[in-house]
This record gives sequence, structure tokens and C-alpha cells, in this order.
Amino acid sequence: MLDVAGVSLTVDGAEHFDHRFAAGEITVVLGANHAGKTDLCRLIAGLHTCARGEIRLDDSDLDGLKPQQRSVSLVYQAFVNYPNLTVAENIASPLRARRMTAAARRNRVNQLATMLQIADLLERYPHELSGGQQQRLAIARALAKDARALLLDEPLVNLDFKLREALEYELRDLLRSTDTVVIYTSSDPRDAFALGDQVLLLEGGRKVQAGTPIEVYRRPINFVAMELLAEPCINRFTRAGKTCALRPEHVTVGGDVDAANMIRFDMSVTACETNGDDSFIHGRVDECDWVVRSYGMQEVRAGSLLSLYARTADVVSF
Amino acid sequence: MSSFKPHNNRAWLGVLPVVLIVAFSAVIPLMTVVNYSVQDILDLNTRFFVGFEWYRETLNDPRFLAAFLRQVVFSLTVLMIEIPLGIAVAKSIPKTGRLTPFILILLALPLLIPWNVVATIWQIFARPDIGLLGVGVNALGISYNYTAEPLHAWLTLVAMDVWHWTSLVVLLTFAGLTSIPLPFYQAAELDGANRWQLFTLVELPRLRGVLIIAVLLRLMDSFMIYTEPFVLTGGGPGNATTFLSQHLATMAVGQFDLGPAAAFSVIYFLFILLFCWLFYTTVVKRDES
Repeated sequence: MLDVAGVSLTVDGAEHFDHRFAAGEITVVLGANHAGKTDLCRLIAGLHTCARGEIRLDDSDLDGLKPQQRSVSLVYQAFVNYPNLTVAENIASPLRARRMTAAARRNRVNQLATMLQIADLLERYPHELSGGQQQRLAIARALAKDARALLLDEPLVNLDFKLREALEYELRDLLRSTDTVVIYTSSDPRDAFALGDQVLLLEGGRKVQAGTPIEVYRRPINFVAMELLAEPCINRFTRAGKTCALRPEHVTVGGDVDAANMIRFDMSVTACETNGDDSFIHGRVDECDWVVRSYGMQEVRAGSLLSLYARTADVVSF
Repeated sequence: MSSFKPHNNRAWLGVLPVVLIVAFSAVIPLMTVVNYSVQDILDLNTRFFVGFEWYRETLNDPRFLAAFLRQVVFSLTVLMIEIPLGIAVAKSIPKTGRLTPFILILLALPLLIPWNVVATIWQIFARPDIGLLGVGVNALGISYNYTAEPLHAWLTLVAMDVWHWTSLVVLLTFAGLTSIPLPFYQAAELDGANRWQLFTLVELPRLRGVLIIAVLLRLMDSFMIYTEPFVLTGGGPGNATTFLSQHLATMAVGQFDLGPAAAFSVIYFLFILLFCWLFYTTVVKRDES
């Protein structure tokens, strides 16, 4: 268990941050750029210090401990490996600092390399590996330390889409089988659902909401929380003097007009894009910019008028 | 798109300016030297073709061989001092800080001074009668006179070259160091790497590129050194600090032995080329394997 209490993730130190990360669970820390995700990782790892607050790992205070004295390992967004060491030597690097015997080291290296599917690359150098393999190596190195807390700071951002998905599913099984505290930062809500046992929403160095992804998705405490778990963004409107919002996936084009539990909106379309699976129709409803997610490849011309429907039960307001 | 032709001979016109410039700046002068090197020139109208006679003679000339040996020893000495010293100085400069720009400017100063001014400064600085260094060293009880003692002349020359050129290595290395992203340091710190491991495993591999350039530049430049020893020691005492280019100048300008001097120049040129090629290919080959 990792207990972070009273620390500050902003430069001016104005905001307090408290959270308890449970062991054996993956906590996805979700936030936009500069929300404090990387700062949180660096604070826990001891790479920079905070004048205030305390960080306790399994009931021992980490304050004053150097990074290598903390049982924490970190995987970066960039592929960080030692360029002039082979894959095997790279994985062994944290073990070497701990004076493990050569035989035990070899065993551990083989075990980790097999786990991350780089066992046939042990004699290669990092620059001879693909991006995905380099990041597998970096993860193997981080796991080699056998730390009580494993921090992954947007580890898959620099990988291409297909590889990211494959590695994401592998990582989930790999990380769930350990009883360490796993913190995985991301700015993509999909990561929260794909990986997270828990999700922690961050904004401006402040904790917005935490809970299981489904909980947070179903019951956001405010629009910020709703926005952070929305893909691509939420649609706001005013109803009876109150600001309300709908997730893009809850709005449909066409539908049962007369049903009592449905609301109708008129949108003037400004643009339409598709990612192959879904189409995103951008437009304006009253004075607000909306995005509607519609299944399949849709072609809607800019300037046309669309009737949208949503269930009243899906409307969120505070 | 139908007007596109895969071959268009007019493109050669675009290369023409470069061909002309390179021809006048490098190829033609070089070929003139090659032309001289196979002739015995008594005066401009009396010439004999002598084939490779001058090359044979130069390569068997003990004065050439001695100057060559001195040159190699000098170049290796300054390289072995300037590269490690440059790296050490670069590492001790704070990467960010208010003083950093001033330190960099201060370091760049020796590079801005004309070479014979550098030599003149040191010539006066090291004089045993009036120079700060010369008088100071002698006052410590160490007898020092670079105009009389070959070893002292060498030490003075090496010290001057180190003073003059270490800054170049520092600036290149510093640029290389600042381009290493922070996560690489942090990851090593988390692994528990000590300072030496941090240097050999994180910094040195990423300084490879700039260090190759630094070694190549210093190798070529020190191999061609002329002005500084010419002004400082005049090649003396005796021939103790007569390096290749000064030997060549004596032959070509002093004695007007155009043929042998030309042969010498070609050999000299080929040696520098060979050195740099050997260094570069061994280093680059290791990169590719």
C-alpha cells in the first residue's frame, strides 16, 4: 500500500494531494498534460522532493530516502535503456547494484525476458530493437528491481496503435499477477477501462475523483470528472436554467421521437470525421459545440441539420 | 505529371558551380602539387621528369622521419590530454544556472585569439627572464628555459596547445551533455548507479558522436600545427620542435626545393587522410556491428 498525503503537485504548491494506492491493483492516473501525473511519479520515486506532506510505502516513511533506496521503479514514456549494454545486461542492471550472485541474476533475467517475450533478443543491443521491444526491455528492467511500487509514466504513448493495444493487454495480465502497487499514468480514458482496477482523475495538481472506472464513469462528481473519462469530450446544454451534459456515445442520430423518456436536439453540422469504427459528427446545438459518436462510417455534410436523441436517464447535471 | 522525365541531362548544369568551385579550390591546386612532385625543377623553364624519385627520397630522409615521429608523438600527447580534460571540464559546468553562459564565453575566448597571437602570448609568458610563467617556475627552484631545453620546449608547446584547444572539446562535450534527456539520468539513479557507472553507461555512449568529431578535429589540426611552434620556438632548440609543416615550409619556401617539397606535401596529405579514415572507419564500423 502506498499512502501519499498532503503533497503538492503544482509549482506554486497551492494544491494538496492525498491518495492511498492499494497493493495488487493497477491504478490508472488520468489527466491532461501538466495535470501533475509525471510530478506524482517523480515525487514517489524520490527524483524530486516536496517540502510538504509525506509518502509512506507499506508503513515506512520514504522521506529522506534516495531514489535507489526506495523500493520504487519507474518506466518512462521515452525508451530508457543503457545503449552500450546488451538486453540481458540491461535487465540485470538493477540486480547488479544489489550484488546478486551471477547464477541468480541469470535466472531472474531469463524469467523476466520470457515474461516480456524478449528472451530471444538477450544478446542484442537496445538500438537493434524495435520501439515495442525497447519498451518491453524497459519494463523488464523496472520489474527486475522487484520494487513494492511500480510506476509507469505514459509508457505506451510512443508506440504505434496496434502495438499499444497488444502490449496493453499483456501488461494487464502481467501486472495483475503481482502484489505490488502499480501506478499507470495516461491521458487516454480508454487506458482506464482497459487496464485500471482503479482510476484516479487529476486536474491542475488536484485529485478530482477516484474509484473503479465503471463507478467514476457512471457517477462523475462534476463535469471535470466527466470530461476526463469522455472520448472525445462531453456535450453541454442548458435545460431549465441548469447546465447539463451528455456523453457523445449517449446521443443517437434519429430514433424513437415520441418516447416519453427521450429528449430531442437540433444540431447544425460543422464537420464529420471517422476513425473507421466510429464517426464523430461535430456541430452546434444552441450555443454549444457538440460531438456525436455514431457507429460505422457516416457521411454527413457540413451545414446540414441533424435531429439528435438522448435518453433523459443519460443526462448528467449537478 | 506526364511531363516528368526520370532522366534529364540538364540537371548536370546544376552541379556545374560546385564542380567549378571544388576544381579551383582543391582539385587543380592539388594536381599542380602532384605535377611538381614528379619533376626536378631547376627554374621555371628547365624541368625534368623524375618519376617517384622525390617520394623515395622523402620517405628515406631521416629528417622527414624524425619530424614525422615528433608530429605523431605531439598529436597523440595533446589528444590524450585535451579529450579527457575537456570531458572533465564540461562535466563540471552546471547545465543550467546563471553563471553557465559566462563560463561558456570565458571558455570560448582562447578559440577566438589568432594563432600567432596565442604563440606570442606564450612566448612572452614562458620567458625565463621576464615572463610570468618562466620567472615563476624558476623562482620555485626548478630550472626552466624553453629556448635551451628540448623537454622544456615540448612541455611549453603542449601546455600552450592544451590551453588553446581544450575549450573546443569542452564546448562540444558540453553541447553533447546537455542534449541527454533527464529520464536517462533518473533511470540510472533509480537503478542505484554510482557516478562512474552514470558516466560510462549513460553519458559516454551518448557523447560518442561529439567525441568522434572532437577527436577528428583535434587530430587533423594538431597534425597540421605550424604557426604556434614557429612563433614560440622556431622549431628549436635544434630541431626538437620542428614538426611536419614547418619542415615542409623550410623546404618549399626556404630552400625552394619545389619537387621534394611537393612530394612531401602529397605524402603529408595522404597521411592525414589515412589517419582520419582509419579512425573514422574503425569507429563507425563498431557502430554498425
